[in-house]
Amino acid sequence: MPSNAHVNPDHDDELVARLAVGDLVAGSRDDLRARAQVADCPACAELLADLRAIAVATAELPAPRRTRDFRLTEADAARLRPAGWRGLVARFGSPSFGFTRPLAAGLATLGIAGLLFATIPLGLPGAASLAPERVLSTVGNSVGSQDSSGAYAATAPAVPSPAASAAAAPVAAPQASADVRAPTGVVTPAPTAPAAGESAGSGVAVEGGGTKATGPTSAPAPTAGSGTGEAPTDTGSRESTAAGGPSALVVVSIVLLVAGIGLGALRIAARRLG
Amino acid sequence: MEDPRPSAAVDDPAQRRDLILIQRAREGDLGAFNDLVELYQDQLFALVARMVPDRDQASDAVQEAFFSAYRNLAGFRGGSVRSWLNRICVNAAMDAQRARRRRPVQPYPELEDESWQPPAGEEADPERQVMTAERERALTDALARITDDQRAAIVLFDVQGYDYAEIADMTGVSLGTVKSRIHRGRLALRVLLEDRMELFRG
Repeated sequence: MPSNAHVNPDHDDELVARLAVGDLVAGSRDDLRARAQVADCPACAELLADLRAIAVATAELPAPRRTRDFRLTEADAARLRPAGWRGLVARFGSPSFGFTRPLAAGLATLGIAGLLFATIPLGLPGAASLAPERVLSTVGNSVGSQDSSGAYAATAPAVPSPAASAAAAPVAAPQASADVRAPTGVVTPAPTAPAAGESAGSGVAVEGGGTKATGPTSAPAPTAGSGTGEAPTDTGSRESTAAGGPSALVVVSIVLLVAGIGLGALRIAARRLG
Repeated sequence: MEDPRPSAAVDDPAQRRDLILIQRAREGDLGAFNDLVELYQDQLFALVARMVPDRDQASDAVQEAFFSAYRNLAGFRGGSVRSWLNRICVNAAMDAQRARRRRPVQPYPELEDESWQPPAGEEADPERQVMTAERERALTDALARITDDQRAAIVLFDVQGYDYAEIADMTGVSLGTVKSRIHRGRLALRVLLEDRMELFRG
């Protein structure tokens, strides 16, 4: 596009355009420069007059007349109105459901906070160092060589009870050896002593394919109760149920997080549908 | 969040009327929505037709804007109904401009449409009448040839009378960008009209 030709190329057309529209603050440096430019340069003066004339003519342009009636028919309205599940979802986007946004954010925040609170302690060095001890004390020598796989370590921390370990080892070892040959998915209860608290009835349970040497262990770790009926060592079970605090917290946190995210997603979907 | 319902705080009768109509439309009253359409369709078509040179595309854009407004009744957050409808129409016009660039049509069909010209007053001087028509034709032609963004800014500022802040809000750009588009758009118009400026110097 050609430019507005000027006798003086140093003159700023846009400055004149700003003056024409009234954007320059009276007395400012730009205002003084523009006025001087217009006063000294006939081309700039003509440009200013032309720009103002164009603005006036633009404002006076007649309104184009429409050739169509834009009112909506009942059919249009029915088509545009969200129906069925879309209508339900769309309600979440209405101002009356404005509270759902802070609610969703709050739920998600609580969920994340709960998960952090529940999981961070397990990541502490102290918690991690307990795992091998537990495996040694419960599984025994038959699988001792596979302990370093981490499968057991991930399952549960051990109860740091020398007495329990000593008592459990002779009982647990044969049982564990037998379980190595158990088919996949077989859960073999061990003859455990009644355990204190909620670990009662827990035994040597092995789930997973193959042997412990190669297969993953997803079940609670093998446990053997001592003859005295004390010192239950199924710490996997302990983690999930006996120590019900963290477990319940994790579940509640996940529920809150999912609810928060779900509510937020529902609101976004509602706005899009609306 | 602003309450879209009419309240004592709304002093402007037109605004109060619009809010009542919006509220009734949100309750399912199609007639109330169509009352709003009747009130604003001329002004909105004038706005969009200036931004989208093709008349049919402008009509489609306005219709789409009203569809969109009806769909989004629940999303109206209060304030000026006129501004809300204008914003929807500006967006529809911009969408139409993007579509026009993808599928070019005859550039200035409105120039061949006699209905485009306003009826002159009976007392108008025929020579003046011809001159005015010629000036409007030249300006309309030039407006159609500047960039879409510059045209939108100039139409909203010079024709519709919005201020910089309102235009920035409607078009989603900064205040400085709006000013720059208006200044450069006017300079571009002047270049395009250079040979016909005698029509404007009157």
